[in-house]
Amino acid sequence: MHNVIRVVHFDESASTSERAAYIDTVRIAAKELDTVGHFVAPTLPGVINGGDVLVHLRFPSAETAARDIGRFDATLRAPIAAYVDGVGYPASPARTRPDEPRTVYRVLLVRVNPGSPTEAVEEFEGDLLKMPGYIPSIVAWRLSRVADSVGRTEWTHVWEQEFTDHDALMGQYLNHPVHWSIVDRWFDPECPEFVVRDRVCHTFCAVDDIAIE
Amino acid sequence: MADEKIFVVDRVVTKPGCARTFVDRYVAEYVPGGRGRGMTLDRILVSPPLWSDDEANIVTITWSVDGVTSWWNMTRQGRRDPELGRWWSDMNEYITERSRTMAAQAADIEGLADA
Repeated sequence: MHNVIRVVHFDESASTSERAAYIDTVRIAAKELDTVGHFVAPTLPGVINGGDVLVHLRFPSAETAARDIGRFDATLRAPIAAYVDGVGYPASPARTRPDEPRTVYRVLLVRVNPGSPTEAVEEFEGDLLKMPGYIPSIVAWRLSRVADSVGRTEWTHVWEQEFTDHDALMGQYLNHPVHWSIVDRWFDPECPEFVVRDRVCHTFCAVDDIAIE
Repeated sequence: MADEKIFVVDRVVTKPGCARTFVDRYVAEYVPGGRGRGMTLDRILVSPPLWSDDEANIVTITWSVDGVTSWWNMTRQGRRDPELGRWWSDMNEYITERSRTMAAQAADIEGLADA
């Protein structure tokens, strides 16, 4: 499986009707792709550098994605789209709590500073993966390394989760000690472990289907 | 909502003969900004408790912040200030190693985890 994520940032002047029409157009374009699953959804309140529309495409292979994504990206580049962030990546194995509800998909795109020691990168990845063990509202999760990146930042990692609900993402996830005492040091310029030096893309949307499997 | 006090702990191993200069600069240059970001300086401990040209010292500086929301406010302000990273880089001439960790009182741990 090869996944593609696109985060569309609208021009601030875009009207409500233009935004709605854009999403309709992109949904039609996504349906025409040879994916095994996809969603196109407006982002929810609380995103940080998270844009206005989140697109998630699950292709059966990297070859299929490479064949189709250029045409799809051209659709995204409508005048109201100020810019698009995005990644393509071979989807790492996911973990889930299958009996729990999942209503919100969240992704964090990060760029680990080039030249960071391999051991530090692996420790960073290990810390991210500790989070679901402490935060029960994370009901599906996957950490992947980026194969190709589009937009203003050369993203290196995709950290995806599905949450039980929006309140859990805005509350339990942010407030839990595993977040601010273990994971956040990699993002904090005051900590010697600091490896994520560029602005992150923290974005999420409501979902009614499984994105992380 | 977790309003328990959070402690921000800087543990700094100074090069021999550098502890007093580091502490003086920390107090003069770092502490005012830390207070401005909403932290309360709890204490600065120096071990061994002597200024020596021959001994390394471990300087442990403890700040407190009231609750997780205040902690996020504090750290977000810091990240917008590129001078902070530069200040720590400037201190490298006095420092062998350092860490910054977060802590809480043992009695508060369950409340914090029940976020």
